[in-house]
Parts: sequence; C-alpha cells; structure tokens
Amino acid sequence: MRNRVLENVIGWGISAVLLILAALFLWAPIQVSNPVPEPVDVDRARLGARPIRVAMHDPPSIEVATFDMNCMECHALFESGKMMPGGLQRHNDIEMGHGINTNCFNCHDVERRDRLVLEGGETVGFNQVPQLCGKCHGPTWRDWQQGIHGKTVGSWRGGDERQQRYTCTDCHDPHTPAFKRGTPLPGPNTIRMTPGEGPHHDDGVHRPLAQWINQIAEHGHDDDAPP
Amino acid sequence: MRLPVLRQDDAGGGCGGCPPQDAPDSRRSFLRSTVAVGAGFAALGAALSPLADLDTDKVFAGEDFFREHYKELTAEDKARLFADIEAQIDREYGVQATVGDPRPLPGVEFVYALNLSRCDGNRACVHACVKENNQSREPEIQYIRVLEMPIGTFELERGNQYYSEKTPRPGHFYMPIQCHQCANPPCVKVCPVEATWQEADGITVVDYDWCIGCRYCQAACPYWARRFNWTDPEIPSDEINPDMAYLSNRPRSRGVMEKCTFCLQRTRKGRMPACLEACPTGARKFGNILDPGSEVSQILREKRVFVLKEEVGTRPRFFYYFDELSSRTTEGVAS
Amino acid sequence: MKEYLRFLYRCFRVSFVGDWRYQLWMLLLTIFVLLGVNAWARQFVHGLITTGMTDQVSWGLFIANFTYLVGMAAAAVMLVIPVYIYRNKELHDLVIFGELFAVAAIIMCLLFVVVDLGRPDRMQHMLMRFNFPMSLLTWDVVVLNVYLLLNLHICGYLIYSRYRKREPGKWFYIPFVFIAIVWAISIHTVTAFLLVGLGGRPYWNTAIIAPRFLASAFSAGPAFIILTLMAIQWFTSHQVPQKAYMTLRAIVVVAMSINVFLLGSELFTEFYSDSAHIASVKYLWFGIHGHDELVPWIWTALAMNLVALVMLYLPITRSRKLLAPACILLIVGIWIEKGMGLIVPAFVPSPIGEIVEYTPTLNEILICVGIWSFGLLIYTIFIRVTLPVLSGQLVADRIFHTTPNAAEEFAAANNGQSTQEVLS
Repeated sequence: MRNRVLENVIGWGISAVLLILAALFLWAPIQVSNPVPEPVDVDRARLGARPIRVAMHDPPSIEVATFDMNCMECHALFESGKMMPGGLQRHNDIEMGHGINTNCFNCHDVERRDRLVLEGGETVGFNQVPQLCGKCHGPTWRDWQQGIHGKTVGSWRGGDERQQRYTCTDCHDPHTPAFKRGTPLPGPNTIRMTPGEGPHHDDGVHRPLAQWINQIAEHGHDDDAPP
Repeated sequence: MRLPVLRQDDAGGGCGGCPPQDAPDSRRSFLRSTVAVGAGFAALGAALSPLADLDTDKVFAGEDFFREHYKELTAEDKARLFADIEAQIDREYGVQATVGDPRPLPGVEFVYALNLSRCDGNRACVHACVKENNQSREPEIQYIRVLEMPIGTFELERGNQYYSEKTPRPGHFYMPIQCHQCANPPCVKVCPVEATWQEADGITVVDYDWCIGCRYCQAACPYWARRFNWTDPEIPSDEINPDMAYLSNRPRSRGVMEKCTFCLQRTRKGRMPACLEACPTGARKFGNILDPGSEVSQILREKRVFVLKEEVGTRPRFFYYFDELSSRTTEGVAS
Repeated sequence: MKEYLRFLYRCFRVSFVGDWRYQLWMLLLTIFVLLGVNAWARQFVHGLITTGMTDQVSWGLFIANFTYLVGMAAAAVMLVIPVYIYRNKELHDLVIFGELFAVAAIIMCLLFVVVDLGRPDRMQHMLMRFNFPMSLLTWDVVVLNVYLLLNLHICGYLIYSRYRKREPGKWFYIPFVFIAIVWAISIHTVTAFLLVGLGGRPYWNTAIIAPRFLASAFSAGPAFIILTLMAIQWFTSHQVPQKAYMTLRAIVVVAMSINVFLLGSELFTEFYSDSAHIASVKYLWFGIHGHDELVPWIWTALAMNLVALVMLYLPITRSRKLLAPACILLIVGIWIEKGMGLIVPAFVPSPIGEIVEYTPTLNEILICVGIWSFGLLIYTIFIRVTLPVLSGQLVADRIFHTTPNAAEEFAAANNGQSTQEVLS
C-alpha cells in the first residue's frame, strides 16, 4: 500500500515537475547577457588615401593679404637676408625643425625664390623636390626611387594610370620633416574586452642580465630586495 | 511460466515490455503515463521556446541550405547567386551593392612588406580595413592588430595591443599583424569541409556560405589572423562599402570565419589594399613578387627582411623590414 | 526483423519502468537535459556569443569535455582486453557495461562537437566536401563514428543474442572486438593529433600529448566503470565479482602511474628549459602577468590525482568503501587536467601575445550539464535494458501481457500479485 502511494506521488510528481519546468522556460527564461561593447567612433577623415599634407605646387605661390602671390612678386622688390630661423619678418608660420639644416638658402635659391637649389648651383622647380632632398638624404632618396621609401597609391601595377607616387613633401613638412606624435585611432574593443582593459604589461626593456647586475651593484649580493 | 520474484529495490529487474492493460489500476496508470509523456513534451517544447526569436533571414537566408561550394558554382549559378545576395543586401541595408568575383590575375603573386622603422602605431590601417571590408562594428571585428613593442625585445607577449597614448611612444616600436597569406597555410590544411583555400595569387579565402564554424582554423593560425562571427554582425547602413566580392568583403553571416584577403576586391583589379592607402607613414608596401621591378621585389632584394615566426614553417607572404637607420621619431635627424 | 523491432519496442518500454529511485534519477537527468536543450536553443538563436569564448580563446568547455569524453570512451577497451586477450571469464558480462559506456561517451562527444559549431545547420557540408585525409578533424569524425558503430554492433549483437537465447556466433563479434581494441587507441591518438599537429600552438605541439592522453584515458575510463559496477551492485540484484574491481583497479593504477610520470616529464622539459614557449604552461601552473584563473584548478587536479594514486596503491582501496572515493577523485582530477587544463591554456596567451582569460558562461555550462545528463540518461537506459536480458528476465520467447489472459497467468505465477505490485 505504501508503495502504491509512493508510486502515485512519483508518477504524478513527474508530470508536475515537468510542467513547472515548462512554465519556467516560458515565463521566467534565463537571460543571456550581451557582452558586445558599443561601437567606437573613428575619425573617418584619417582613413582615406589622400596625402596627409598639401605640398607646395610649382610654380609656388602663397597667400598674402588674401591674394595669391608668386615668390618673385615680393622678392623682386624686397631684399632679404641669408640666414634666417628666428629672424624672419615674413613667413612667420614656418616652424623650423630640420636638424642642422637651418639655412634657408641650403634649399631655396637666393636669386630665384621660386626655385630650389641643388649642389653646384643648379636649380629645380618645386615639383622636383625629391632631387633636392636627395642632396642630403641619399639612402632615403635611393629607397624612394625604388619605391621602398614613400607611398604609392592607386595601383600596385607599374604603368597603371591610376598609380600615384607621393613625393617627399606630400608627407613631410620640408621645414619640420619628422612626423609629429599623434593620438592613435581607437584600439581593440572586441567582445568581453573594453578599450583600455588590455592585459597588464610590465613595460620597460627586458634585459635580465643588466637588471641583475644593477641589482647587485645597488644592493650587494645578499640583498634580495626587488629591483 | 514463472517470473523470478524481484527484490523490492530492484531497479534493474522487472518484467520488460508489459503494457499492463488488464491490471486493476491500469486505467489510472495509463492516464498517469500519458500525462507524464504529455508533460515531457510540453517541457521539451517550452525548452525550445527561445527558437521563436530566430531570425530565419539571417540563419537560413534564401537558398543557403542548398547552396553549393564556391568551386562548384557555374557562371550562371554565380550570376543568379550574386543577384540574390545583392537583393538581400538591399533588403537588409538599403544599399545597392555590386557583388563581383574577381579571379586571380595570371602571373601575379601578391606580397606585403611592412617597414617597422616607419610604422608609428596610428592604427589608420586597422579602421580603413574595417570600413573597406564591411567588418562588423558591433561586435567589433578587426583584421589588423598593432603591437606596441618595447625596444629590445621581440617577444610578442610583451607587446601592448591596447595602447591609447600618443604614438610613437619613446622606446617603442610598432608592429601591425594581420593575415600573412602563408604559402603553406595551416588554416587551410585543417578545415574539415574545404571552406577555406589558397588561390593562385597566394590569397587564402573563405567561402562564408560553406564554413560550418568549427574554428579549427582559428586554433591553427600562428598569427591570430582569423576572426569568428560570434553573433550576427552589425554594420550601419551608411557605412557599407558597396563594392563587394563574393570571397572577400560581402557581409558575412553569424557563425562563420572571416579573415584578411589583401582586399582582393581591390587588388585583383590592380588597386592597392585599403590598409596601405590609409597608412600615413608609407610603412606599408604591396605588389606582385613575380614582377622584378615591383616595389616589393625591390624591398626583398634590398632590405633586411624577415618574417614572423619563421620557425613554424608557414612561409608567409607578409614581410617585415627595417631601414638602415631609424629616423622615425628622432625629430630633425636625417637618415 | 520483426522480432528485432519487437525487441527494441520492449527495451523502450522497460526503460520507463523502475522503482522510485530510478524514476527520480531519470527525472533529475531529464530536467538537466531539458535545461541543456533550452540553453542550446538560446545559443542557436543568439550565436556562440552566449558562450564565454572569444577570438582569443576560441575553444572552451565544449571541446574540453569532448577531449575528456573521447578518453572516457576507452573504458570499454580496458575491460575487453582482459576478457578477450587474457581470457578472464569473470569479467565477461561486464564488458558489455564498458562497451555501452563507450557508446554513451561517443554520443556525448559528437553532441559536444555539434554544439561547438557556429553553424550546426550546415553539418551536411561534411558529407559533400570532406577534407580527408588533410584535416585531422575529418579523421576524428571518421574514427569516432566507426567506434560508435563498432560498439553498437558488439553490445547490440551480444545483448540481442542473449535475448534470443542464442549462443553469439563468434565470427559475428570477436573480430569486431579486436578491431575495437585497436580502434579505441586510434580515437585517442587522432584526437590528440588534432591538437598536436598545430605548429602555432607550442602548448599542444609536443609529442607527449598523445601518450598522456592514452594514459589518462585508461585510468579515468576504468575508474568510471568501477563506479558504474558499484552502482549496479548497490541498486540491483546483479552481482559483480570482487575480482572485476581488482582487475580494474590494477589497470587504473598502472595507467595513472604512467600518466603522472608523463606529466612530470612534460613539466620538467618545459620548466627546466624555460624557453619562451612555456608561457602557456606557466599560465596554467603559476599564472602570467597577474592572470591566474586556472591556477587553483590545476593544483586541485594535481592534488586529487596524487591522492587518488596513493590511495589506489595502498591496500585500503581493496575495500569498495575507499575505492569509490579514490575513483571519484581521479575522475574529477583528470577531468580538470585533461579538459580545461589541456584546451584553454593553449589559447593563453594568444599567438600574438595577448592574454585574455576564459570564463564559461552559465548558458555554456548548462549545455555541458545537459549533454552529460543526456549521456548518463542513455547509459542508465542501456543498463536498465541490459540487466534483465543478462539475467534472463527479458527474453524473446517469453510472452507477457500480450494475450488477453496474460495478466491472470502472470498473477498466478507470482502468488497473486499484480504486475504493478511486482514492479513497484
């Protein structure tokens, strides 16, 4: 008899439990959290193929009091000195940072200001700036000629009309040629990771031997203080 | 005929297969069993209730189920299929896209070269790639990772991939890593369904409609170049690149693998990859290694070139090199 | 044929009959199976994002359980070898329990592979383009399915012969038994090679993985069988000879000793050479750069394994009271070591040095629990059906209540008790 009761309890209990489970599935479903982070904003202007600066065209001209003026329109009238940085009365927007190359007329021709001067006094136009830079930057010029240095866009095929080779001044400011440091575009932001939540990094140079020697030098042999 | 009498607690004994039709409480017992079976099915049905939320347009889109492997598609199949995909893109994003199928060019083998002396870690390549190749923005998928490495080591583990300070940071160099389009690709070898393969120009592609999502290729890749769609990818409609190719940048579905294809939708038409064009430093170089006059051929001849993890024998088509002197960060010093 | 279908039907009926403990156990398993089904339905709708896996750690609990269960499927062989090679007759009946467990384990393996797929709706692609023999995963599909068929055939044939009260024809199963022995080794080897062959993952790229795989499998599998036999003996009238336990215990001890030795060899090689390749091993045992999620697990596993091994070496485990806990320690220890401990560290750090840890989600755990429960459920049913066949209670020519007056006959034969009373 006890068995019969137990059997009934179990028999109906099974149905009851299964129905409760069904109800829970339907009305109290388990929620899945969404670990997908929000998309990050990216400055799309930085993603194009355009040169990062506007190089001086040939013949050169600059804007003076809203007028486009050719170099010689002024320089034919006014005399200007030879050694300039810091002492310029005009062209104040020029920021000089070209290492030991501080003399304007290392590059600009004294007589014809719309020309650039090569070694031996020969002059070239502003569109032949690589030849000028090659005066000092020999290896880089050689690399550029072979396509190793610099940037080629449009096509990888030699002779393709879409192909375009950037010259020195498409990327480098001739007066301050080194690239400036800048803020990088956003880093990875993948699932279960948020920006900046990157793994821990013990920065610094990994020179175990040097560190060990320094440690000994500072603390002596028996000192096991951390480096 | 006599059954052995069983121990009371004997779950293992009992008479088998005896529907107790004529037993005294057979009716109640039958009712009880029926209800239990019914409850079981109800619970099973309820357990499957999340399936009601399934977006069938995404999982079983169109004729997905019967779709053939890329290599078995005839020209007519492709025309019909591509039109279907274009229609689906139009439905989903409202964008008039063209899905093409540029084939490898004869006499062309693509090679990438990257100048570690020039890269300044600005990540323009990363995001240009995302934009060009219609990668998912949410969750984010990026094919390129840039490592900020302390000078003096080449242990990748020491690199920081999450840097956000101004770059280049003194004492560091930057190393972008993406698919190396190996000549001996481990990812292709391991795929159980041949959903990924290497084409004649060296590009390893994925048939997104064939991949079953086992992620074995992801485990096999020594460069961590493969990305998985853990859920439905999301791309804002206004950011879709409509110039698509079947084997590269058409929108992917969930549960499949994807990877860098050297922008084959561009490069097989003679154009440059998007990451290269976006690079403001000119650190990236791309071209045909079979053409001795190409930029990459010059680099491989002239420069001190190396490949990442040469010891794993994958023979990458992605080369890193350094300049003789680094002028990258040292302001105002000539090289 | 008709007789065979009738056999299957009767087996089906028997599997629903049992005392309250049986019913409760089955109910419990059913609940967990349903929870697993529910979790899987959610995963199917939202994608694998419902798991804790990432591009960095792209295989997790599913593959860990898969590799572990491939190992467990070896249990059968470790019973088969003494019986058929050393002609140990006392274990004869017990072989079937081992083989049935192999069937259940392989079914679980296949389920774990299926739930791990990003696109289970495309499984038919396997039939259309099968990258054999290049992809080790295709090898695994082949060997697992063949192993499943072999075991289904062997125990199906033996049980059905017993049901028909026929002497099993030697040529119908003995050759398959020997094939299965070799095959069991192949499923481990192939599954190990699946991981070992990846040059980009130094943690796996070591030849010792396959032998370690075999060693740990040959200890965890028989340990599980020991527990099963104990349960059978405890809950039913089926008698298991003490010698069976002792044979299995000896197998477990030897296999586990080899396993611990191989582990030691591996750890020595890694830590003494101390090359850059040990990042993953370091992560597992000590943590790197402050990431140490797996460290407590692996030390627990090591402690469990060592305690179990010492217990098994001592005579105290001749008594079943202590043999059971030793087996449980060993099974859990190897589950940690061969599951999470073998799969996850290979992904940390990622091939390009990123350290992302892996924590399984609730949904993922529920799916695993569901598959395990399903495996135990079918294994319980297998045993439930097999026991009366072996004891001669469920045989072909015995007609129960299929004729109108069968119930009376039955009652008469059982001192007036009704079917329900006999069964309850």
